[in-house]
Amino acid sequence: MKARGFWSKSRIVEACLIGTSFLLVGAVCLWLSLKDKSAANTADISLKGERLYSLTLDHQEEIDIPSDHGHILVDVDVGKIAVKSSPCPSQYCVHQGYKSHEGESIICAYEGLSITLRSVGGVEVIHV
Amino acid sequence: MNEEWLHRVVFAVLLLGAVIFTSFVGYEKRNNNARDVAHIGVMLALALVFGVLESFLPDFLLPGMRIGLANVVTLFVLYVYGFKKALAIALLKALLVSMMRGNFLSMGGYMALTGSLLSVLGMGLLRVLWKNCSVFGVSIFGALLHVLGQIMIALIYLGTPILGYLPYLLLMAFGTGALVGGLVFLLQKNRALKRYLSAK
Repeated sequence: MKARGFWSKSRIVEACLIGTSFLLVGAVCLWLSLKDKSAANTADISLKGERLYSLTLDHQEEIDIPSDHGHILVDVDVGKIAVKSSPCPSQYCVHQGYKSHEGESIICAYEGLSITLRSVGGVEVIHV
Repeated sequence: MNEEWLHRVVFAVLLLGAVIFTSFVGYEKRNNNARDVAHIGVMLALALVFGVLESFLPDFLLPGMRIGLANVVTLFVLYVYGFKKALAIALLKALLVSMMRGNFLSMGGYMALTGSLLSVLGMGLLRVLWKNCSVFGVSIFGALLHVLGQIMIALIYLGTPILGYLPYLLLMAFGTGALVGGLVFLLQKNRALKRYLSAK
């Protein structure tokens, strides 16, 4: 039977394409969310793509990072890290709270800050 | 003047040149009348209002995640007035909204510009290559390209950590694209609007 109206052959192909791509992207998201994450012991802090710190998460420390619109305060704790305060309007980076697993990251797009967590055996500590 | 500022000035001049050029290209002698020009002005104003309104709303779910209500206007113009005018509106909207938000010539401004440009180019190309593609398909394709354009710029500024958000942003783009497409579909079906636009 020939499809009529909105659901022509072309529309069915289009719906299949959209549906397949959606499922593929959804599967990737699901895999990323459910995969096993080990505890992180190192955090890399970068501003505008330039790495400022690479530090171990085995102590308590507050790091003040000067940015374009003020200062970003990063709270380092044992096994976890968070952005305590930021001058960005959305405050999304602050609301993300503490991150503690390998591969997780905190992004502040407004200030160009990124914090990435990783797990390494031998730890290098860089303070620039 | 240091090198960074020189780059910014050169970029600003090029950008303004591109926008003025696009505005002239968007002007078509045969089809343009005062009514069309007024309509385009209203569309641009609407896109700006939506763009600024959305900037007041907090990000939801993911950083930088927005519905993209201004894209309703761009997509509507693409369907009613054609590619050139949609391109002009998208560029001017990205430029003016980033100026109003104070992130012109910063990462946010570049992200908006690249996303809008890539999105309109992709949607225009898809309409040419696949004439039967529905407004939903075109809108979703535009939303996906918008995300990819923004991520390209974010990659330069923030490095690879931003790639972790890419699948989630793409997943959301399906939803926001479908929503924008649905709104344009409803506008196209609106009889009063149809009568108004076709009246001479």
